[in-house]
Amino acid sequence: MSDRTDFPFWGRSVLGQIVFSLCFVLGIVSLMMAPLSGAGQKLEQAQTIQFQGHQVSTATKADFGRGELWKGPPGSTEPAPIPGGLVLPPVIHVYAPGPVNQGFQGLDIEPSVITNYRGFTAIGYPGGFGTATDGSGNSYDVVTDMRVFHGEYVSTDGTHHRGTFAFI
Amino acid sequence: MQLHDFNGGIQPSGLFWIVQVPDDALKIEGLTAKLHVVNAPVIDDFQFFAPGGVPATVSYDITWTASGDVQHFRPQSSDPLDPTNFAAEFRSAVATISFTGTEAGFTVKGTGTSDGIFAEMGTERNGFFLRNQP
Repeated sequence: MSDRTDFPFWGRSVLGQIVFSLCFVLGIVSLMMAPLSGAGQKLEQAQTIQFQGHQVSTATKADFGRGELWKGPPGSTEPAPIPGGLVLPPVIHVYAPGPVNQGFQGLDIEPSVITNYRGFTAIGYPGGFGTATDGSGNSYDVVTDMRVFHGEYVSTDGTHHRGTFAFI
Repeated sequence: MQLHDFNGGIQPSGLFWIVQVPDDALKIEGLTAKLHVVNAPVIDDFQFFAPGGVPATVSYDITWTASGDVQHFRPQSSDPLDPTNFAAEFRSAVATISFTGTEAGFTVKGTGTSDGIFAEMGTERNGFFLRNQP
């Protein structure tokens, strides 16, 4: 894949082909949504985008009834989700960083899905056209969103932890 | 068109599609990061947010190779709902993956690259660590 026209959902026909998404929908989300600019926009006004033929938007304050982060039970070491995200609906606590001219939200967009977090982050959208095969010999296109988060975080019960999390 | 969508599921908290892995699954050396995941429990949703997902596992090796200058990102809003409300030092990268996905009656193997699409890696902070960073 040297450019976007080679990607399964851009330009080329996928007729007669099978699409396999290792993990991701956001890959599909971002490939199918119109470019939007997330940087510093007023959150009282939702950003509307196209997602798989449906109008969706980024989350605003009106999408959150609690007005605060979800709190886990005492002893929970689970990381807390980022407060914002995309509204399908429901709200999914994830963004789609990447070049706007490829349909993503922009380079200055939060890649982490964990809040109260500090550490190493990597994100990538590796894919391929017919680069997967099942046990019956069927060929699949690959669309993924792969991320990893490694560092310290404040868990949902307010305690401090370290850990490594794969975004799948 | 058949779609298999392996993902880590969504927790009651809203935590989206992540699975904890051993710390030594990730090796960071210079401008390269390698993640080795074995039999991570996931679900195959078949379609985005569609009911009827089935249990599955995925194993994969992914390598990020960074290049270029460090890009510094700073919050452009103090609103925690803003997607720019984080700070980071990232380099552009290329990610390559090889994977196997397995569920009852179905196994798939494949590869992929982010070349020409998007990848980045580096360090970041948000939330508490953003507010309390000098």
